[in-house]
Amino acid sequence: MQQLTLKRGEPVAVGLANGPIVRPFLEWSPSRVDYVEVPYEQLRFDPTTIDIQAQVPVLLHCSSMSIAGFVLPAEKTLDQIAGHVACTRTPWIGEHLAFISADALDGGDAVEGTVELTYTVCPQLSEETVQRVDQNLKSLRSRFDVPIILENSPQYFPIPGSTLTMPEFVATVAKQCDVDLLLDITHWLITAGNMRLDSAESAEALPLERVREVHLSGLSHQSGRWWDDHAVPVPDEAFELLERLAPRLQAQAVTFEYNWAPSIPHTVLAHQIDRVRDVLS
Amino acid sequence: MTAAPPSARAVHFALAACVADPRRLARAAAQPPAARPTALRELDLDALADLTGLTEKDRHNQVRGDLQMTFRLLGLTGQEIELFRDYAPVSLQRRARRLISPAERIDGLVEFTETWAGSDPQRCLVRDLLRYEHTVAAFRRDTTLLADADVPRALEPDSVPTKHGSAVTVEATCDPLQVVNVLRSRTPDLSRIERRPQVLVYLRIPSARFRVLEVESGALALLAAVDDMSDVRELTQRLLGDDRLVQAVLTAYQALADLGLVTTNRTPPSCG
Repeated sequence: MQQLTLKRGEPVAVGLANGPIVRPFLEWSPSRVDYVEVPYEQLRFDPTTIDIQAQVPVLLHCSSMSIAGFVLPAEKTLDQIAGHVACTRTPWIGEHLAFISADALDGGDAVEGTVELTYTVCPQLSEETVQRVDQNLKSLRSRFDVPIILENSPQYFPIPGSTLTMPEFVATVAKQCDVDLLLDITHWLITAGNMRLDSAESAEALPLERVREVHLSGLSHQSGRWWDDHAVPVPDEAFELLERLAPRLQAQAVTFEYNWAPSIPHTVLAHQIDRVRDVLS
Repeated sequence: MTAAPPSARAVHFALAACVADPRRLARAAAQPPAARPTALRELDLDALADLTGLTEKDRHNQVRGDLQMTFRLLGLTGQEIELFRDYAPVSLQRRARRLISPAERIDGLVEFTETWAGSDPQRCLVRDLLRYEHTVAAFRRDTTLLADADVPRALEPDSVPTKHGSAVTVEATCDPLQVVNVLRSRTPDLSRIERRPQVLVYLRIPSARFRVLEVESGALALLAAVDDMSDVRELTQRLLGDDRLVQAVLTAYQALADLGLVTTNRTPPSCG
């Protein structure tokens, strides 16, 4: 079993989100990839996914803890995540600063059970949510031997009741909850595009020193908005933003998320991995 | 007096409930804003509907391998979110019926686009390419061994035409293979896609080869009439109501036999 060991000050590790492209690329260029990021949800659906660990270290990702939500995951889910933390020896758990389940208010006009989604959703950007994140983190941290780091959501439209912008929200969460960050550069570009923010200036307002991991993926513009797209190449704008933020970043890992893509030209990916190493060297 | 902003918990529930069930979103959109739940009054419901499209698209990641060119076309023409947003309510019903295997997901999309495309040229292109990739995927999954066909030979009026291999006949607005060629380019020029009505036969033959053949529109009726029992004379009577026209029909079936679409399982009576 391979284990990912990351230390501040060492060259950044570059990895791939687990998906159909991973094994062929590892065969084509075994030494270019330092780790594979595997979501807990994939391990739950197909436990044999962990077999990749014989070939390359695993970094654990997660979408199930609903950190910014009001419904915490089931005990069984948390036990399973803890089991995977032990099994993978991941240095941290990357989780979305989002929610994936929600329940109705008692006495509301639609009293129903909990709604479970399969996709994380950007929360209300407010002090109320920040407090909830803090509360959730306090309860969840004791379950794991490694830190939880939080990934910024892509914001597709204004969320009612929000009192903070995304940069303010992420910065407030980091400070108030004393939590490190997973900066998804593409999510940031999407948010900036949809909410009419300057992507670089707004990112510079973040506590970039707290960023331990970076995500890169593609995006697309459809129906008048920017959308996340893990099947198309990372755009130049993402590398340019990474380059601009690089002097302040102390990220230890950068993950390419091509996990929706059935294939991607190996030369394109190899070039992008090398480009990241250059930018962050 | 302005109303208090909705709580985070109420907003999260409203968002989640609408994303999980697009019918609820449609109901909310049909109401005047003041009549909607507080959490939805300030929300851009059109944008939320688009988000349901993204989540629906995400559910189809497992079929991207089979529908690579369809997804590429959707991306290039900016129709991904639109298609999956429109499909989300239908997909919800299919998921409730547990139609969630990769093959069932593709079947559902194909079925949906038949109506969704209407006469819109861009959507018809998506429908045609989707049908093509669907057929290729279905042929690939079909592990049934096909019986070897007879060596093609000249048909006679008493020959019994039989279908050769598995064939799917479709009417299309383009040649999907030509579209695929355009899409394979690093920077596809979609204006190179040639559009014209055509009848195509997707054929899987015993050697497991896959072929796309363009045929005359009349070939549809000829192929549909083949029942593996009637000879050409009987088929002529059924198709034209006059078996004196057998020579013309024989010529047409011979053309289909030459293309590999039909063969025969009866030899003409031998002399002596």
